[in-house]
Amino acid sequence: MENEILVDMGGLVAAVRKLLGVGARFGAITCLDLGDGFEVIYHFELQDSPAPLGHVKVRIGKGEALPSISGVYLCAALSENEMRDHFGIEMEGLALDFHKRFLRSKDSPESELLKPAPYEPTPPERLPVRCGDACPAGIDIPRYVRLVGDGRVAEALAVIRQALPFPGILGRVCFAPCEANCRQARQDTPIAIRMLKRFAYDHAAYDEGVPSRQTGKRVAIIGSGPAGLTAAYYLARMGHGVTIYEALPEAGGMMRVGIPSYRLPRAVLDREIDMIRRMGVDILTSNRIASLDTLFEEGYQAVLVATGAHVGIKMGVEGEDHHRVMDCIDFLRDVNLGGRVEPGEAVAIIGGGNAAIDAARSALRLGASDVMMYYRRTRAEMPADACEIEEALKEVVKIRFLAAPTRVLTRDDTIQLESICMRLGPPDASGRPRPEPVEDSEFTVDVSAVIAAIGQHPEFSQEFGIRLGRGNVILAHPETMATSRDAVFAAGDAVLGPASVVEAVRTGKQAASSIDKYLGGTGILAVDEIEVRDLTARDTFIDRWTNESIRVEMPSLPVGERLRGFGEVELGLSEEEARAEGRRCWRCDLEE
Amino acid sequence: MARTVIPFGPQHPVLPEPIHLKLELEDEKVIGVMPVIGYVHRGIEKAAELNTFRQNINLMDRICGICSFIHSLTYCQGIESLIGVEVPARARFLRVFWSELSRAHSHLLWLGLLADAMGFESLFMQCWRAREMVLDISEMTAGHRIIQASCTIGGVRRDMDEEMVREVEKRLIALRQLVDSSIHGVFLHDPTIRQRTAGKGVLSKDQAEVLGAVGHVARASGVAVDMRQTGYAAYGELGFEPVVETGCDSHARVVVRTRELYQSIDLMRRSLTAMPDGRILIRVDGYPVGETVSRCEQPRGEVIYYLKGNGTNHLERLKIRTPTFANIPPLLAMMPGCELADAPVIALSIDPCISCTER
Ligand SMILES: Cc1cc2nc3c(=O)[nH]c(=O)nc-3n(C[C@H](O)[C@H](O)[C@H](O)COP(=O)(O)OP(=O)(O)OC[C@H]3O[C@@H](n4cnc5c(N)ncnc54)[C@H](O)[C@@H]3O)c2cc1C
Ligand code: SF4
Repeated sequence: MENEILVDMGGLVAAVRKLLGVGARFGAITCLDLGDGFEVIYHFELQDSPAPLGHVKVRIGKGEALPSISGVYLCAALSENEMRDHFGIEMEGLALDFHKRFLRSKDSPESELLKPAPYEPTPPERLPVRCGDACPAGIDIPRYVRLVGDGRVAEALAVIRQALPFPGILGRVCFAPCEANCRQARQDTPIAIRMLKRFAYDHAAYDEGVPSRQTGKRVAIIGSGPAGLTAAYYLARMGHGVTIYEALPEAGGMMRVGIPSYRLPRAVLDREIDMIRRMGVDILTSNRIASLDTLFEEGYQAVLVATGAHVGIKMGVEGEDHHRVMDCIDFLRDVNLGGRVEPGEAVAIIGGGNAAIDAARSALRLGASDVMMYYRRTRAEMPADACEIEEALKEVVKIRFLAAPTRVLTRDDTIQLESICMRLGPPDASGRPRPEPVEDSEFTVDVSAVIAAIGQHPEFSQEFGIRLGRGNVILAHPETMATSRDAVFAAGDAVLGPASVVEAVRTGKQAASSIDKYLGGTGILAVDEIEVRDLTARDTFIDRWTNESIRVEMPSLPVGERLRGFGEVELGLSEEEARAEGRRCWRCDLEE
Repeated sequence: MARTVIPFGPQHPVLPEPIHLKLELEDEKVIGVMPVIGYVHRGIEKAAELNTFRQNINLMDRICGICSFIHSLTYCQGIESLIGVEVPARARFLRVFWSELSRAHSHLLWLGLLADAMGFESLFMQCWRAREMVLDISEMTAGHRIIQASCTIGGVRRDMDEEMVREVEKRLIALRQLVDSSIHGVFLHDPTIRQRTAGKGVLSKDQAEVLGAVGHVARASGVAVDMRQTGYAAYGELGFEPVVETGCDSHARVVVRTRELYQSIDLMRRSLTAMPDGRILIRVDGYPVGETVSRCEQPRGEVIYYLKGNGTNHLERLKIRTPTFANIPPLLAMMPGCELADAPVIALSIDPCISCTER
């Protein structure tokens, strides 16, 4: 600071007296705890106001007594008493003595301004936030978003990994319920939370967790989808022996055989599954389990059923059994497992969900030139993700709204799809308007294949011996994921019906926790202990006022190149884009 | 002669501030006074180290209900000088506007309380009626009646459009008329008020200087300390002359404040007229490093902030010296010699604000 006068303790009073002599006005006293001593600064206004301030600085050691200047400036006595309260400094020659009870009462913390504080300061409060609340896996979203904004990518990834084992997969395919819940979604500019997760995964490395001491307990998991893998990861970390049985020749569940590789490159999937294998989890592929009894006979103490929902719902129309009429799940599985699939030139897709879009976009990549989706309601009701629809339209998927199939007319190898026009009626049980057929509005088109994508449900062999509910899903306790059968737990689509990867992760975590409890553990999931020091505070108003909040666009492959194969469409954010996006977050968890 | 000690406060009908004065009396005459505070110490200086420096803005807003805006202004000016930020011109004029609005609020509130302490109920009502107009302007411009929460690092948070400026202008004229017709004259000339204040609580110019008096207490004793003379925010551009009286007593303090009321209304109107177009906020990146002292003039006088940053998100130290803290020693000098019956009015004449004194 300007006008500093450094004195030692002996010269203090004399220096202050000199200031009085030139007519300086006393302002305040500041004391600082430097660790090994104190610095005391006396602020004076040097001449008649307005005049610059002068600062007399004194250093004293801890335990030393400081001479009071109240003999010169009486008014300084109050500041000196305050300093004594706050720092416990002894004063010599105080003109007014409040006996360390000036600001403090007898129950106030002792010498509160010392460093480190001589009492436990209450940690800053962090509020629950809307984005975080909406994350089924419970990621601390605002923290990692802001860490990415600060360029601290490795820490961001660590924060994500505390809540789930698959940042790479979810950074690409998560439906991101958090974004819909982001406060900025109200202005249509939610933070691109998912893209930032992908950025963190792509730009940072992590160590996988270390399994703790082996417990000697064995758990069998049926199904290697995200639910099964998540549970396996946590159970292995808690020291249990885990074996996954998978019916298909490759692990990954729907992530392998449902989600097309232009959205989820297989390298990413393989890397995350390998990580789980390295944790000591055995994954036995091409191993369909027909009965749980055999598993228990083999010595497993607990079983997790995470078999997903793999059976397509039938359309229930005539001619559906023709071999050119396929089910979406079968179609995608064949595509994904490298089978020879030739849908032909003109493909009709029935349904308006994400799976339907995946089928349509895959068909385009397999050489179809005319892909038409039939959906019985309008775009507003379409359950598929808006961005997905947008991308599909860009790649020239056509969508015929308000149309439903009535018949498939088959003649040897050629087929025709007969559909009927619909109109929207009053809302049905789901709250959406019920589609009603318009009489005599049937029309037919020549197609080379029909792919039905109107939903799927789980299916179980009778021998599992567990109670099922409506829609053929397993009845499991919503918290513990325990089924009607002792030692059998369930997770993922098998319980929820077709849901999402992150819901599968959530239920997988819950199941792992209760299986551990069942096996005599604490049920506390082992997560990496990471220390993340938050540097940044929220300064929402600055951002709200000075920057127009614009959401980043995910750079993507040009449409022409996309259709040449199954190369990944989304290209990932650049460092700059990711940081700017992260900084856009309002950090609502620090809301006053 | 028999000596008695009369406790005055912390609960007292005329002084709703938690200060306790031990009045030592000889008969009815006060011969000594000892203050006791510490009833509402909130540890804000410590909290300011635990908070991030941006969160502190909101904390500073809450040090005092009346000087709220100026507290955050002083704080933000300190941070701005540590980081090295030039605040946009429009924001500086808006800062003046809200500062003066707080001052008008404070002065009217205090004049009302003073009238009430003298038992002059109808005058109290008039003052608070005028205060209500100020609060309405605050609500209209800042969205809040008391804590404006409009200051932030790098500028202000809220702007005013043409229409609002015109409406504020209209209301300020109405406010001025009300002060003219039913407040100003009464405080200046009413014989009762004169009797209760003139010659009471005398603080000589020398005493004021030596005891470090600030604000209206100093200016009523002929000492021209007013931080607005340093030209912070837009006071430099607007031109500012402090209001000084030489009566040295409680009445002079009343006069200083009534005159300042007009001055504030005038400053508000001039700041809105002179306010240039442009942005009200610039983005501030970076963390405060180094130490600085920031001073502003609050309704009650000079406030001093000492800030020390270490380049992180948390301040190393924040020290706040509020005006009442500086006016307590002068109060102790004013009281001896007065009648017990005058003690409340004298205590009130410094406009004590204990919650900010203790922070
Ligand atoms: C086309 C399509 C696209 C999707 N896109 C997304 C998306 O973008 N984002 C998203 O979040 N979700 C998406 N989903 C949903 C998501 O893939 C599923 O919700 C999720 O994979 C369910 O996980 P799960 O572990 O419960 O079951 P699954 O992933 O279905 O895994 C179950 C596994 O169990 C195996 N199995 C079944 N029975 C047996 C048995 N008896 N013995 C041994 N193994 C058995 C199956 O072969 C399968 O591998 C999509 C689904 C589909 C169909
Ligand atoms: S602005 Fe940030 S903290 Fe707030 S809801 Fe959106 S992502 Fe979460």
